[in-house]
Amino acid sequence: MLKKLLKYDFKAMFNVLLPVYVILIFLSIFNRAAEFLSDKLSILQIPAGFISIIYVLVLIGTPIATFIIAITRYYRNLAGDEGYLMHTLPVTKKDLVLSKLISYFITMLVSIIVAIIGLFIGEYGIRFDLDMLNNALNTFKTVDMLTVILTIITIIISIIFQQLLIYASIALGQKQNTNKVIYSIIFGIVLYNINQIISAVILLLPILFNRGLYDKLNNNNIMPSVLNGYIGASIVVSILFVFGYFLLTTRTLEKHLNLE
Amino acid sequence: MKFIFDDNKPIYKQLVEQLKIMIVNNVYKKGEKLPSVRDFAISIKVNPNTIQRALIELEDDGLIITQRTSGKFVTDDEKIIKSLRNSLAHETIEKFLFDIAKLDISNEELIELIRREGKGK
Amino acid sequence: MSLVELKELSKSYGSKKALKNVDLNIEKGKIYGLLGPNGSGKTTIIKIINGLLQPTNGSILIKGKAPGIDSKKVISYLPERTYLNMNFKVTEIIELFSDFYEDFDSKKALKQLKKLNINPNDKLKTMSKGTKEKVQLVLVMSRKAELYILDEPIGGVDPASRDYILETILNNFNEGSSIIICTHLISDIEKILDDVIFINKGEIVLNSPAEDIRKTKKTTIDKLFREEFKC
Repeated sequence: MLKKLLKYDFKAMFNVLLPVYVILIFLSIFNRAAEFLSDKLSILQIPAGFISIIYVLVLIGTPIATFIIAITRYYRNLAGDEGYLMHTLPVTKKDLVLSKLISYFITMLVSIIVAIIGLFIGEYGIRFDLDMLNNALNTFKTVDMLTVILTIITIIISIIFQQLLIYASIALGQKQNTNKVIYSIIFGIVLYNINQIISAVILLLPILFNRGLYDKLNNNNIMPSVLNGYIGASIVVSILFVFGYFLLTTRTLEKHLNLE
Repeated sequence: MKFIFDDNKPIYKQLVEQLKIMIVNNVYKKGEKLPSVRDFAISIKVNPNTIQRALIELEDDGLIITQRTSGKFVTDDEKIIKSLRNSLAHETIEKFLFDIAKLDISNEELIELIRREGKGK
Repeated sequence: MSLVELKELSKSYGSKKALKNVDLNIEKGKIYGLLGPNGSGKTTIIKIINGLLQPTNGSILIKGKAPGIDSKKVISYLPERTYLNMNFKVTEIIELFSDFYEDFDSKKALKQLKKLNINPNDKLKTMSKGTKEKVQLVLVMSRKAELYILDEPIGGVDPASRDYILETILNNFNEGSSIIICTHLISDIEKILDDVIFINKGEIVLNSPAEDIRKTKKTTIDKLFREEFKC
């Protein structure tokens, strides 16, 4: 059943996003052409600048739009009128939430990739030359490969984490009879703060036991192993919260569904 | 096939009465196949179990025969239909006589009135 | 074993009691009318049977088990509201029903929609309210379910369409299944009901075969309802 749910979630997301991707790529090409031409003819600089603005907005907007579309669909499907269909289908709440999460994650990755492609094509304000590329590669050499990987993992986890936090908030908010949206926001703030506090405590705990650690961390030249340890630890904490929010969401939808 | 129901009284009884009249009237001819319970229900918008109940009563009276594989049929026994007609007529006449007794009319006047009324029909 | 069994079922929202100790059995092969004014608890019962709400007390069993995926497979529910994504075309929503419900007969659905002159490639949002409601009804009745729950199937529809809807309901009814109809337009449907259930303020005040009511109380169900629930 999860596969079937995914089919519909992916279809719906890409139905909206595909045109956006096309527009973005088109604008990227347009922007690059505009910048090229405005270099030659200075009167074109104003319209070119205008095009650049739109280009940048769409560029940044694409991942943001993905995020907003995913949340809106989750809300409408599972907490709005369409909930009468979704929650009477013979599927588990776990599958319903998982489908929304997976479809969001994949489309978000695609949106980011398309945005990066758009960035490279449009070349906004960035004049890539060999020097810059060299400098970039050099910084990579000084930074530990593991750190880079861990950072990427952190970003990926945070995409999932953010989304589940909102899912849980919406699920908790719809429990109420009135002002569901306001309660969702309140629950969101509460859950977020709980996460922050617990994460801070867990990550600061080691310092209590090892004063030497504090000095090491305060140093401007942090040893990669210590840094990686911390990033790794915060990833683990995030993953635990991801599972926690997922369970919270599914249990709330199972036991406290309250459609209007 | 037009049924008129008074929702204040049990429907199945009215169904039985009106079907009896239709059988006597040849709306449902002898030996004719009746619609299935479902088709019946759909066309007159009455509960299928109610219809079933009415048909069972008609079957108990011998007016309907169920052939297991082909469905329900009006009996082709003329005698039964005739006897039904007579008993329905008897009921109607009884009621008429009961009502008319409240009016002070002699038998001769009554027969004359009936003849005159009957002329147009 | 009853198709649906509610035992001392209660549901409270804070201090408000939506259902108080409801006992109700739904048997298969019958058409039930669940009748009551707004706020009487009938929607609450419907939601609980569909697994959209958890009771506060008491038990609900569907074919002997608590509501869950198994019960959703055999219950076909028509909510009072438009609950489908309006951006969907008719063909897309038929595909969805086929995907998720093994007992869905898409050929039957398409045939019935064709008879209604509904273009399957139309999007739901382009249809009038009455047409939308007919589409939703056709979809629900095109499943070979064991229990159909129809919440106000004929509300907001013109009289000719009401006939069509009653025909659709009766057409898809069979002895292996039961139907629960919630409505306040009682005179239109009372002849198709087996049993009548009156619910008021969270309690069942009447549960009787319609014909018995006509026989003993010599009244239409509609009249009895108005009397029972006059403000």
